[in-house]
Amino acid sequence: MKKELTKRIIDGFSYAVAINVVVALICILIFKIEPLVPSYSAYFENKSMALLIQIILTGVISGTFAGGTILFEQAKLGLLLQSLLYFLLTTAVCIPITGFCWGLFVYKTSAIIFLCNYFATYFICWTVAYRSSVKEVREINRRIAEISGEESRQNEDK
Amino acid sequence: MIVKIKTDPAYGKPEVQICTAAVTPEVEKMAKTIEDALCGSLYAYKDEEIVKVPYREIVRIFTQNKNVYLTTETEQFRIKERLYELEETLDGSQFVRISNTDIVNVRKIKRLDTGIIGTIKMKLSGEQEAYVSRRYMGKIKQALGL
Repeated sequence: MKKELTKRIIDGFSYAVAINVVVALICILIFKIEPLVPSYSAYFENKSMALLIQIILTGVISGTFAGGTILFEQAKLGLLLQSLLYFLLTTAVCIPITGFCWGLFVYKTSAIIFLCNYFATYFICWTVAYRSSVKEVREINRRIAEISGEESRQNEDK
Repeated sequence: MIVKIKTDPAYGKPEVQICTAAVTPEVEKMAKTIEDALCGSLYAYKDEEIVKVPYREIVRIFTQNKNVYLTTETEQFRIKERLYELEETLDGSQFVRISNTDIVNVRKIKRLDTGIIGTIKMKLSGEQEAYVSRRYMGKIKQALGL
């Protein structure tokens, strides 16, 4: 499991870093805009360093989201606990980094809208996953009953 | 005893029939021997003793504290193979992986139960239970022909 966890974290981190480098290059070279929020770049004297740290922190968010998916394979935890732990873990990493890099808490309204959307998305995902899981279990139980019926008929024929 | 081989394109898969006037212990033994030879088996350890367990008697194969165990309806044995090796070698229509720690015999599945917090518990023959990971639900459905 440690190997799988490490692989997912590295994969998540690498993909996010690669995508962010491409996006930053597109912003700078094509659209001639700075891919940094003013409140964030104010923390740094050197903008290249600011961009580098932002890219690394984005990688950390992505690595956490990717690595955290291992929780969903701990069958004993159940969907509710898996989702709750995943939510706490990703929120603990995502919100402070988002606040720091993209000035999430500079404007109260945008922070409230972002947080509401964030929580609502989680709630919707959990509800959909739970319903789909219950539906799948019903389907499987129906099929098991069919198979048992077929087997008992075959045994009676014998 | 006469052994005959009858060829007919009507038979999709080869089948073995025993023609007898009555089911005697000898006939039952013969049927069991044929079934054992055809269905395959695993070598397992009970204390220091090596036991051959036919696939059709296996209920569940699982890992616990880095060891791999198999259970029948009444007994538990330790085996040397790793779970991922067994997943590759066992017949996919007879056995299915249900979580990171468990492979079960499809024929021994009794039902699935969903818990309030979203756990999926699989009830198996011999009053055994195992937790199902949602990641493997697709494989379970496939093994059951859904």
